[in-house]
Amino acid sequence: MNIIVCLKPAPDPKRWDSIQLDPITKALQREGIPSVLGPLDKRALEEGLRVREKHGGKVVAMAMAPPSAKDNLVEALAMGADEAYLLSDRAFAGSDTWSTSLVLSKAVIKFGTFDLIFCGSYSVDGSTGHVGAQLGEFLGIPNVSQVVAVESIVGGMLRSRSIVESGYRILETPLPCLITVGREINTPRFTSLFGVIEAESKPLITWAAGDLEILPGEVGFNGSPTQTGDVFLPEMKRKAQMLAGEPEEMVPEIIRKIRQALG
Amino acid sequence: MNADYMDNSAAKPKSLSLNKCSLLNPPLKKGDIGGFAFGASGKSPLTPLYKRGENYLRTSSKNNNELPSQGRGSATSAAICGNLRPNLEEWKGIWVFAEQEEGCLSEVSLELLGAARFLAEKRKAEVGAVLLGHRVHSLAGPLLAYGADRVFLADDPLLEKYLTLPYTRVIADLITRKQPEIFLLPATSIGSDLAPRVAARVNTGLSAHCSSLDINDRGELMQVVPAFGGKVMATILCQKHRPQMATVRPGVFRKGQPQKEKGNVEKIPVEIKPEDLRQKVIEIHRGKRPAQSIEEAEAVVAGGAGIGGQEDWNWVEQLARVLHGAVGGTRPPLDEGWITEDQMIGQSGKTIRPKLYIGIGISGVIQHLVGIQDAKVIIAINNDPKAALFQSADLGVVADFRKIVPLLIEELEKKG
Repeated sequence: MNIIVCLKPAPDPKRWDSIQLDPITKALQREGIPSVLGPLDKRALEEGLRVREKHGGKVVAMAMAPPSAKDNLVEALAMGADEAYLLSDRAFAGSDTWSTSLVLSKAVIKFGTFDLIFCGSYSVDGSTGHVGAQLGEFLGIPNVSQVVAVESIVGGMLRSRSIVESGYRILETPLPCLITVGREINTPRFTSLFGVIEAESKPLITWAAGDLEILPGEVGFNGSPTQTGDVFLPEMKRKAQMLAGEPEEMVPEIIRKIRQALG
Repeated sequence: MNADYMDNSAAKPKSLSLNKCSLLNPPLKKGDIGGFAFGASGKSPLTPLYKRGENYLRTSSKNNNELPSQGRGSATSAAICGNLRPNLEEWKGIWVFAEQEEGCLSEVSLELLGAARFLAEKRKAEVGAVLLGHRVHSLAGPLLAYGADRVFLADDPLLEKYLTLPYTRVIADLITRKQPEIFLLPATSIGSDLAPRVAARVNTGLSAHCSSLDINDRGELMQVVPAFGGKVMATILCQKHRPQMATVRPGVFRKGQPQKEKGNVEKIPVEIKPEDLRQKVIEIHRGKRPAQSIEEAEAVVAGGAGIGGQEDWNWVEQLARVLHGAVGGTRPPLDEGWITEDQMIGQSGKTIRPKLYIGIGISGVIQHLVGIQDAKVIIAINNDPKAALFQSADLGVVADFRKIVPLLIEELEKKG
């Protein structure tokens, strides 16, 4: 079974406090923030590895990202992926989710046959949650969102459990299909030292726009149907009246505020 | 929006010039029908270039040389060429996806009708509600009352339970035929699955989780969306593709007052293809919904990682009870199982706007703050004076909640 896992290296959330907006150019400044694999990316990969362990086959990690994201793919290889593809080209810069999905779909098609694709339900940074469904559409395969358990794969049918509002939904979907995973699906394994050593000898291939037969302007800023206009950092500060001291002294003040609020 | 590349956004011209675009566009290759070309061909701009459904990939046991790369590649080139002759004026009307399950309309659909009404007044356009299901005709009434001028009704046994592909088929066909200018969907589990699939099929842009929507005099929908957990907000535009699509989480907009129903119901054809029906719903399980949803509650008491244990969590629940309010939380209580997904507040959860929010043991990461910033009064209780939530609160209480909350409950119970 060929299992493709799409990953999105994103700036480390622990360092988002240092993201600044240039007051003049309005460009986001986030130099020096390394990219990491998000929690859902790792779960997507973990699920791919588990399916491989059960059904055999190969796990392929793919990411569209700047060249620096190579480290993140090495991490995926160290976790257990068999090979990795970095889709990287200046022409991809500024891609929205439509365009990103298109690049990924071309890479999947170039890769060849596959049975299953796993993605995180949403990325840590943009968090749109679009790419899974859009990649499914561009490949012409069904997608299943927010999967928290792959219950079985029998006779070319995958039975999955997805979370929905106040409950869950069990679906049967024919392979090949695309699964986006939710948080509860698994606990990703740790990377072993052996895995790290092994990763060095696994294939990590970079594909640029030309390799994917993507023409300039087809993706990236000019190929994306959406454009980003104004960017701003929202102001959420309020001026708090601070209380400290003995509980008995503070309680009447809190009660007053509660009653005032609820009018 | 791809946040990865957002730092380049300033360098990008805000409105792309058509001339520049044309230089970048590949000439149409032989075999490209050019079905995406806007306007001049007189055809619908969204006619797919290859027949959908015929391009299901084969499993690895089969021939692997027959992947649908050709059709796909040309589809995109044509989509871009379509930008050369935009005829955006032909796209009219503000649409809302009217989500229903088991014959119940979701509240957020009505909220979206309120937003659509606002946009429609500015745009002097009609509001359309797109309703899919089986035996759901009676839901048209509330949709008309809450702001729809027209309900597009697709009623079919095959649409009884939501499935991605049949719903995508019906809606994409309808969009192609009727050409709405704007299409809003709820960012629920159904809407978040459906919207990207539809947007990809009709080759248009989509923004996620809009916190505000407005329209300029060029008819461009200005979609304000969060990135980096809400630390950054960005306005997304979709200048050359139609419809302009956006999803909105529950609780972001308010539904209007119901009016006397006017307008009409238009039955739309349902032409689902066999390949759309290969996926099956085996079971849908619904747990107990919380007594009061946190979006509607006037008071919300929320707890965070600082609560420490199930036993102490009871204080959060008891305080909510005496305030006749709802219980919410951050990510850690969800991971601990103290709250359900429905109760998580923040960027990947609910947006609330209660009269009173009390945050207990909550550090106040940005992902949580974006969900509470519209609360009228914010009270923060935390024994760590450096908790970020204090910066965004109206009243900050530096104390161990175990000493404060029981006294508050006692006091509130006393006075009813």
